[in-house]
Amino acid sequence: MKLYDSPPVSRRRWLRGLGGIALGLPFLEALAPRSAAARATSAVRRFGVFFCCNGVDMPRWFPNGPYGALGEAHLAGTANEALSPWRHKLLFPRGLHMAPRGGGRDPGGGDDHGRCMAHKLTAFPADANGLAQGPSIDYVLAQALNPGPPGARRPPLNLWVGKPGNYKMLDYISYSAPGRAVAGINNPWDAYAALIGIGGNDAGSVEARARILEERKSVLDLVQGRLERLRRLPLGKDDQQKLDMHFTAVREVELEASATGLSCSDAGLESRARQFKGKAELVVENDQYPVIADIQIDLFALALACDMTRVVTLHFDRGSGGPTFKWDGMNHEYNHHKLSHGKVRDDCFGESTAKGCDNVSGFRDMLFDIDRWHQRRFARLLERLDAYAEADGRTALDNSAILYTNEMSDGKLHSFMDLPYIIAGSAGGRFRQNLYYPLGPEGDTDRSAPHNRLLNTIVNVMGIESDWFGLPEGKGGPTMQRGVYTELLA
Amino acid sequence: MRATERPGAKRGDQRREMGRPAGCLAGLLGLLVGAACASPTAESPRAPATPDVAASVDTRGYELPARPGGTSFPEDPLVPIAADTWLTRLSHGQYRHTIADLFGIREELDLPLSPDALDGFGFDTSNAFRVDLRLGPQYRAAAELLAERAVNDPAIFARVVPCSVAAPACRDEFLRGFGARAFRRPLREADIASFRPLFGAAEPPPESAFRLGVRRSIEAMLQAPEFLYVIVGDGDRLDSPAAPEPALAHAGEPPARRPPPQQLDDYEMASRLSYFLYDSMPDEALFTAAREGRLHTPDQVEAAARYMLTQPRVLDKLVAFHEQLWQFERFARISPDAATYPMVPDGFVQSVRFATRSFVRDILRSGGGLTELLTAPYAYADAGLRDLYGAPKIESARFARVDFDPEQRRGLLMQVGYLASNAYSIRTDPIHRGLFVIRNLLCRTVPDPPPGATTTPPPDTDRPIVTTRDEVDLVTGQSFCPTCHTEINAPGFAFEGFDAVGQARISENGAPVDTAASLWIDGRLARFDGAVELVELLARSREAHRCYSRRWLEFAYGRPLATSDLSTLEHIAASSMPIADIILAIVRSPAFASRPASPAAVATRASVSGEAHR
Repeated sequence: MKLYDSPPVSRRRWLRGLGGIALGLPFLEALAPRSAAARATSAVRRFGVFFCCNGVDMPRWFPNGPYGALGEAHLAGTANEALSPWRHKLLFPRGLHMAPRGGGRDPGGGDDHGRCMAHKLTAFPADANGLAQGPSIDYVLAQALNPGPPGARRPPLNLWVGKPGNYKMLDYISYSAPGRAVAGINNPWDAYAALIGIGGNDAGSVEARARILEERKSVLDLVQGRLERLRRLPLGKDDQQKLDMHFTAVREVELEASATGLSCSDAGLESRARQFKGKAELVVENDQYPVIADIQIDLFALALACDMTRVVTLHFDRGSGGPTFKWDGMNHEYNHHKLSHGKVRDDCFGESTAKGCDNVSGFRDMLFDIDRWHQRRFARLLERLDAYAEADGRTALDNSAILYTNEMSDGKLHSFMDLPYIIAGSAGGRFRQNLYYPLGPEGDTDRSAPHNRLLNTIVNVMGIESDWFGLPEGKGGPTMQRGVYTELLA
Repeated sequence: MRATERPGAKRGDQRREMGRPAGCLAGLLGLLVGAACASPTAESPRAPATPDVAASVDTRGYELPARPGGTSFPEDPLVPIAADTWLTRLSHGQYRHTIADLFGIREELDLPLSPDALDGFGFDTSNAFRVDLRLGPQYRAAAELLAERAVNDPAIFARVVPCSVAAPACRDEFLRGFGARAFRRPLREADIASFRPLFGAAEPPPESAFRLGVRRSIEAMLQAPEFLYVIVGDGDRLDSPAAPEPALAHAGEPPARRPPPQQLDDYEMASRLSYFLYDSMPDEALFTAAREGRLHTPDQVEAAARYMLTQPRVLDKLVAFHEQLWQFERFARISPDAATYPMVPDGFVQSVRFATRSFVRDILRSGGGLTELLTAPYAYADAGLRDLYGAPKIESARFARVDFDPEQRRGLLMQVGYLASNAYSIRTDPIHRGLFVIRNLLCRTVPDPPPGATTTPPPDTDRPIVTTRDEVDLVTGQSFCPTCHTEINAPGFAFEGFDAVGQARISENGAPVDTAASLWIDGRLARFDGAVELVELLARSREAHRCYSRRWLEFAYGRPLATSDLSTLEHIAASSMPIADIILAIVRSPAFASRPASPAAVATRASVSGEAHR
């Protein structure tokens, strides 16, 4: 982690990440600190969420061995084995339960899956439609970290691998406001185009794109002028917000057009994403799942590394859903959710084999394989983020906090306790690293270590002073706690 | 019940193994139809033992205790202040229709638009839609694509630029003409001047510059707020020094005195009418009426609406209202168990959708309304659906009308769509069928189940549990559950004469189905036996018509109903009007013809969100 002192040419080389991403000079100049003193401090902190659905094979998920530093043997033979090379940048907190709780223990709507999806990033209960009653942490943080006018900051990038299901509330992990669910973008081309800002006129060469930018500018000026005019009307608060948001949408596009957007691109990634342009039916095919997963992960890393947004979420499929894994050495007959229960049908629960609920023999190993596959995806994300060296000598991973979180712990019983969590990256040195730490006892207990406090810890680490996250105290989450987990902080 | 029984539909005569059903709130918490997990049962070591489980209640007969005021469930409340707005963004459907009308493009275009986030309001006419950072670039991409097309496709170009490119006045003619259609009102001189630089400095612009200018102008206009929103309150008032604007209230302060609403001008009314009934921009007739100043009195507006109701495309909008009102998208969850119902054909969900839509269309086209939708004794069916209806086979595989014996099946609620989408994969779901009636037909608010209810184990019983009704009675009949469930389940039981895929039946597992129950409606306790009696009751009730009228108003206004709308609602609900008359009453209503005068009177949706229908 040495501070660099090379001339600007080297700076450009440093910011070339894995896969040859080319960053235009104006972007570099805007980011690079001017003095040596400035280098070591205030890099932009970023936040990411990597969310997997259903349950995991609990006996083999958490690190082996004692709490404390993560030695070589800690991750061997577990689902997280692929993360071993980055273990010195990982933090495994243990013993957390979801609060407000699931299983009907705290007031609110939704069934077990509905609750685990809705409460996980919001720490708010769901309404009768299964929609969370508060904003999710990605939206809260984007309002503070992302550029834009107050109240209308650039939103987080919400990515998704999967297809919508019959019960829509199980599709979502993110909420921009109470009851306002946000669907992740599951088409990689749409996500790429939105990020890079090429839209329908994506000409091949850089020169052609520069010309497009120039032309767009005059059009965008006009559009902005019309919005400006309307803002002078004596509008109500709702209408003002609408216009502010619209103004930001146009203004950010303008900023992209003139500064950074089109100059931060990745030709290889673009051609992979292009396969899905306009192909809504291809996006939901089972065997495209792993292909799309990797593109989305690469987009995740690109977005954070190029500072196109400082908050990204990615989630895999949906509550009680999941593909049938037939790749990377797996050839399952039943989909993720069924294997999470070890049953041949989706509406089976517990151990009973009545009503056609036969067991899937060997399901534990199949589930373990799925877990390992997901964690290899996580490793891919970390590898990419760690390959971007930033101006302060740290990597993009170091300056971020990427939260791995899972819908449930034991999927057979829909447990919301002893949840799998990983924090990767230290957010610029704020989180402890290389650590497996018990915040509460293992197993099924909801007496200690509520997850709302973990979310609040993250909010504070990201630079926002906050005493509480989620459903206000006394309103229906008796196990929720205030404050931060100081044990996790450096 | 005189319905005939279908062979193969029975699961046998033996007593069914009870297993452990999932607590009394199985239905309300949405056990999904063969597609998701059940809730934890008492087997789970994690479920806490519920200390106070009352003995099972004898629930046959459902005698609802006479409560003061009758029902436990109040009518959906009105919000105190109308969440009215001056900027209503076009829905994605409206955007596409507008593009089609503006450019004369009839085929489906690939213009991805991110779906709008849910926020509790049930219709896509919501006035709360926004342009966020995902939509901004998507609108831009669409604008660029359409502008490119307009300039390169001679037919579209001729329509958009109705003069010779070489003619010196053509540039302004294009801006004035196309601009007025894109912005749905004439452009001001200052606006025209702001677009001229897009054509370059040369006067008149040479051909290549002209084409470039047209392209850029279209790109700009299609991203402008005047295109993307239906705007009221703009007009010429901003530029006119004579018009006094009310004093701006500070955010959060209640208004001291609310000034009366101001009337829409002719162009604003033209847009509001056309998006209400056509789901698109005004047509030539409406533009002409606006230009001639014939759209600002209630009589003029009514005349315009009468004309519009004769246009074929209005039917699409009327059908769309019902699709959203009664949530036909729920049909996607229909997935009956193949072993129990082997007669269910492939492509079942699509057939059901098409059949239901055809029925609604047919009723509306022949001038019917709520009463007919609930009680008309026919449906549309293809071969597979005819089987389920027990209708005689016909030669072709097309959709054709099936007439029913009016004593057996009437209306939407006895068609496969409603019955099968409110059922599990192996049995019916009286709880959700009942909820549909109470929430969607009577506009009553049913609260969430209380906490811990899912983990309440069902009581042990010596009584034989044979039918679905027995099971539901047992599971919802203990402890505090009957407080709500006696009323919720009752209308659902009326449909027990139909199985999980909509076939008629008189017995279940060897025991006769019991479809007798009672419902508090119009201030009295009405008894019914069977679904036919229930839907007759509903169709004749004041409450159902009031609920239906209420939803129409919400659909038209794009917001939850407020106390200020009460008089309009009572006027419409007073006599069960045909739909055409409901629409005419809506367009004559003060809320439709006006905009709120003061910004302080415009409440934010978040602070006054009423409970929208589900």
